[in-house]
Amino acid sequence: MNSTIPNGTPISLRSWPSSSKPQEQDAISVFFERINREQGGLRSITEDGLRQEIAEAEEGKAGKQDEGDTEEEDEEDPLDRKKELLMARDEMLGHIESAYHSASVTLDFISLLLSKDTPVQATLSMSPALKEIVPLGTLGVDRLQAPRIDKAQKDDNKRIAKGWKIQNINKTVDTILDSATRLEKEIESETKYWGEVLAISEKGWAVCRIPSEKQTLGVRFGFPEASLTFKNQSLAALRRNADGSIALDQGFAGSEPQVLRVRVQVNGVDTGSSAMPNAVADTAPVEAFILQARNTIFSSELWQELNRESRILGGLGVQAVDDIIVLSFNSTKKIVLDLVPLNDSTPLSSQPDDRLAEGIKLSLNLLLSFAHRQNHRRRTQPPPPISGRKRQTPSYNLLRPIITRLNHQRSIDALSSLLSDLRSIFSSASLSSNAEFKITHSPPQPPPIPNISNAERTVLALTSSLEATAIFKITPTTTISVVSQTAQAPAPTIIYIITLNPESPLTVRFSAPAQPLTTFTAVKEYILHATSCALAADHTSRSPSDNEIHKSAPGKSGWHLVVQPNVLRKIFEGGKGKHLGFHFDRKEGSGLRFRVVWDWMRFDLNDDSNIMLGKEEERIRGEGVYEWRSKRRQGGKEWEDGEGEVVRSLGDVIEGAGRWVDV
Amino acid sequence: MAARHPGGQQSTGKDITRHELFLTTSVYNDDIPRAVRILQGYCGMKPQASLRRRLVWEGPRQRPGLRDFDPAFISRQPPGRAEAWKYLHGQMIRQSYIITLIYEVERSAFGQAQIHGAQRSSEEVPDRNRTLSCDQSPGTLKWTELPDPVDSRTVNTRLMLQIENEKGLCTVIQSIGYRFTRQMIQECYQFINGNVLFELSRYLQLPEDVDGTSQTQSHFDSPLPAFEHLTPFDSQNKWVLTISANVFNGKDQVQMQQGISELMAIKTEFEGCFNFHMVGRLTLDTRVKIIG
Repeated sequence: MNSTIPNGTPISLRSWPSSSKPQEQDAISVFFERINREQGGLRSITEDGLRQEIAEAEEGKAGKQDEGDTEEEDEEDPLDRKKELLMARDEMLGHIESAYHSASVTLDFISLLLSKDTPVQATLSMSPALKEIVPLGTLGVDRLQAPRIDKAQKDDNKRIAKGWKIQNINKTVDTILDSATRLEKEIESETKYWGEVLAISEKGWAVCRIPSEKQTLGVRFGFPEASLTFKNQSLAALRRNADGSIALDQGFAGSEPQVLRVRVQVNGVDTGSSAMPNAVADTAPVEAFILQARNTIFSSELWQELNRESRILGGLGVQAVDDIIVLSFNSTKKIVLDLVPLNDSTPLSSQPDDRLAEGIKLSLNLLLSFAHRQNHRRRTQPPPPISGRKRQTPSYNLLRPIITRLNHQRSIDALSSLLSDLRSIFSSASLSSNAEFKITHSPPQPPPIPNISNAERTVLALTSSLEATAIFKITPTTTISVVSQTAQAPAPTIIYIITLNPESPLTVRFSAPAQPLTTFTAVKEYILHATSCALAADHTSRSPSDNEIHKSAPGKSGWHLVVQPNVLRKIFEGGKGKHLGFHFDRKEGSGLRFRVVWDWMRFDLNDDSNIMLGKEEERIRGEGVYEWRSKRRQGGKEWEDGEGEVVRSLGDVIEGAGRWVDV
Repeated sequence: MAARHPGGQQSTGKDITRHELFLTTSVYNDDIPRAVRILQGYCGMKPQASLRRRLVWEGPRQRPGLRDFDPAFISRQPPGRAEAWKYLHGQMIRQSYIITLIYEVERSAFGQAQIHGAQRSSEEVPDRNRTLSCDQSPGTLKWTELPDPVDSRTVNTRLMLQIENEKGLCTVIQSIGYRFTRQMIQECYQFINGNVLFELSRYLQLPEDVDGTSQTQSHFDSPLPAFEHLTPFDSQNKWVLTISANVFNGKDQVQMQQGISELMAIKTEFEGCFNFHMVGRLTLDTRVKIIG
């Protein structure tokens, strides 16, 4: 209990007045002590003197408070604090000691009490001092009076105890029954959940664990051969609702259901649209949602690939503007593609081009599936050696096959129209009825890839090179053959291979082009010029070219070819000559025109470079022009009855042109 | 037709050989269905099953026996393939090797001798002028160098050359003095995952006495016995699962490291399922010791 009190600390022989003893503070003796100590006794104290001292003390506090009072307070504060701490410590120690003593005494008492019955155990807890003072077993305890609890009270207590027990047992039973009910519901929910999961798996969907939530099952609704972005979004969690039914959770990747829409527009007005399915109702089974998710991700990938491909097809009339892709179908119609959300609205009324739009949409879907199949084929082939170069997946061919087929169709239509017009003119001009043409389409030849399925073979046949052959017999000696072939790489193109039959007189003077032609315009120009040359060659005479013809000879005789293969010349006796030219042209809106022009030779006999073919204002007697047109007037209308004039045959025209006329 | 390497790339000029990186493990026959299912799920494809007839040829054991290829044969080859033959010639003129010729066979090709009767009797002398039936089928010639020293490597690596889809290989290999030693049938399931090829194979040997004939030079040309008569090469009928990746240039550390990383990643992923490991380089030594 000795404390290390520093030497400088003033020690009072009397205890400090304690604040915890307020009653003592008020005792008169305390006041007397204070007066004697502070004022030096009672004799010098008066009331006025005390009031004056108080006033002075207050004035003095204000003046001396800065230094002296502060110093005094600073000196007194730490001392009071220390003393307070010491006092508190002493008090606490006192209490602890008191409690210890009480506990020790109690322990000794109990030990002594127990020493009568269990001396060994009691000895262990008895203090040595007590053992010396008091022998063991000298303290006993006994009941002096019987308990005052009678039999009735005992029975009552028993009944209360029984009641409590029954109450608690009932509570336990209720709890167990609740648990059983809850467990039964849980089992029903789980059974329903697993039943639906099994149904999903049996329908062919791949069910697996979610990688980030190993305890949750998910369904893979996407396509294994899709691009990596879409493969990563193709897993949805199968979450159990409270009633055990399954809810499909696509997480952050989930988006509203979408579908690719194909529309046909003429001058900005829709004339056809692909079918728009409705969104799945909330009450539909989970398989419907899975199917909808699959269709959505398929449409999303299709849209992305279409955009990717459209960037390199700008030169072929494909435009990607805002959120739509526009593709030209023909001169008036456009195909518009966009990705739209599914809606619940009533279906649109049928329009004339609905089948075309639906056909294009189905084609795009099939082509994307085919691209997936090609990805699979590429992936399952033995890989090339690692070379540091990253293997690029080529862009899918989605629009190119459609553009190729459209171009091919347009080309065949144009060729057919041209040859039809030619035949019509031939018919008008009473030319040989053998002027026929035929267009045959070569059967599709898919590339010889081994182990290919029928579906792949069909798609390859429809999208690989398309070929058609047009054979036009102009005259009995001249037949033109035009083979049209398509190619998709690097861009959709058509090449035309033109050949003449070997016996044709044109092979010498106007042979077929050695290289394939790449535009229809070039083909058209060749066909028209070749036809005019063939007709000219067909009306030449067998007599030597430098023979002069008698003026009375028939008009058809004596014509010979000149340098220009579509021009004939006839020299009458006396040296005067005539030219006869054959010419085809075609103008938009007015169809095909065949002109035969004849005029007198105005220049040197041997100079054919300035043959004039019909400047009307310079025509003189014996010159003229005749023309035939295909059966289409301007505006594409047929000739009405009574319109036009009687058509002469080519033979008659040549006959008239070749007769001598005195100028 | 140009030489093709695994992956179907055409070789040009010096780009003839490849470095093959591989690891192997063994699989018991009873575990094969499970192994196939695991690999099918891992690679996302159905197994490509095949049967291959492997004819093993050994080079001469004496230096004078090393012969050149027929120059006319090489000159007839298209440019890319000719380079491959020239390279092979350069290797085989200075060192004798064990070369394997591999032919894809259909299951229906087995047992034709039993169906159509014995093709030859024991007295019949092989006719050297007879066209070998194996020459009429396109085959693959595979040459491998001794695997590189292990050192700090974690996968086996070796130089390799394959000439695929070539007819007349047996005649060509015989013309340079190589002799047929044995043949075996490789039953294989193949899977592909990225740049790595998984081959699950077992090797079957033909019965020793086929129609009473011993192993003559024409034995490799004989019709195959019934498939049921083949016996596993391994006494425990174990299969070998090999994962391999080919590298374009073995001296390019970046390419080699990419191949090694891919194989090691697969090894780690399959820990506990398949124990892929390296094999001693001398077990795959294809060099023939030249005595004289």
